[in-house]
Amino acid sequence: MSRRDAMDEGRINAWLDGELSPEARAELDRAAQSDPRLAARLATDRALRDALREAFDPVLHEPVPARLLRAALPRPWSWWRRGVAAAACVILGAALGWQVAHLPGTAPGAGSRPVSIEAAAAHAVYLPEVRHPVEVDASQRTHLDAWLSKRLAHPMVSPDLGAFGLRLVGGRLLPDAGRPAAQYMYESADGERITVYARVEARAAAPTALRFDEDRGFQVIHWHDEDGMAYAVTGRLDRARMEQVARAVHEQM
Amino acid sequence: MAQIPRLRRYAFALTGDRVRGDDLVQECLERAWSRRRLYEPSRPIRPWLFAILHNLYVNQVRRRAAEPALISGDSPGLGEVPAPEEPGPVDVEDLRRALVRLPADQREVLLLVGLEQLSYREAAGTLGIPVGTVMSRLARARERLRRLLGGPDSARLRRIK
Repeated sequence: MSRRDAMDEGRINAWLDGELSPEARAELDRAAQSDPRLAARLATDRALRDALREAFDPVLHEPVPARLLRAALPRPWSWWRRGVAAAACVILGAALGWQVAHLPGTAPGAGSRPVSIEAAAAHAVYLPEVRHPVEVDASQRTHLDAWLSKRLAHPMVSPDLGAFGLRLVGGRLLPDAGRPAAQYMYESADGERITVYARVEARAAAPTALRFDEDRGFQVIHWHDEDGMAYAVTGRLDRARMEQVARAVHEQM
Repeated sequence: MAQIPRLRRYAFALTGDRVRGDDLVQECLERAWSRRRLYEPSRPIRPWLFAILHNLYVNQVRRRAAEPALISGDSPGLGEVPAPEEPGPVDVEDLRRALVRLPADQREVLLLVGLEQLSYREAAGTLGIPVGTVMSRLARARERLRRLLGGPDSARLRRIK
């Protein structure tokens, strides 16, 4: 490789990686217009770069294995630090308890957060679970639906999302501001998980259209129906696909 | 914690193996905790974590005498297919296979810049090498990938005016 070639190689790479000044970039773009070989070369390099991202980007959207989550948590503390922390907790707890007891009365369960926030929080908690993603797995689907229907006092049917390549993993019962809520979990062949969250609204609300929100990096599509139920579909699929899935859930619920 | 997916992506691409990649990430996170006093909070955490991962990986590759990939060279490997002229769409599986055949030092630079989108300077800092070395390894890595995957060969490319 001659010195001149090496320099050009460097420029092509810098072009590709966004390391060129706008002027130098424009100059190379112009050169490519009159040099088909150079243009082909730039196209090949760009295709390679895009393919590289395409090949490995799916990893970004997979649930993180539990062992890695554990490794990312702080080390256990030494015994004396634990002692100090425990003492601090006791004092803080006592102080808080006293304050709460003297607050103007708030009824338990009154302060329910929007369904999109509860759903995203529950999604974030169970998404990385490898061994216990659900309480009742899909092999007992009938029992799962019957159980959740009874606890929510509303007929629940786990939606069929097979048309989107999503398989039911199972479901669980969750507390939501002191009231029962249900979560169904689905998984695609490449491990992408979405959850369907349902609860009975504490206060009657008018039915709404499907609404799109983002919380904790998840996409949440949520709505209220005419029976006083709130639903949310949470995941990290692309937006169009999330919408299709949510519509299917909406129809089936 | 938010860095784990990116570390996993990089480690998978680097090792070409899911389990080995995750092992590497786990070791990296554990080491990051034990060395957290060395981390300066004013600096971005990503290059620091990638640097730890890099060091672990280099040690691992050194231990594995069976892996000849650490020595980088310009000589084409055996069994490389002569390049056809037409640049077609790149097959993702082919790319993964080709990546494993790159020398480890070239693969690292290519992934840090091409996949993780670190700047040349950040990549140099992460790997502890000069920026010029980043650029030359990058050029060699891409040239080799093009040859393995059958794009137009850089050796025959005319000079840019």
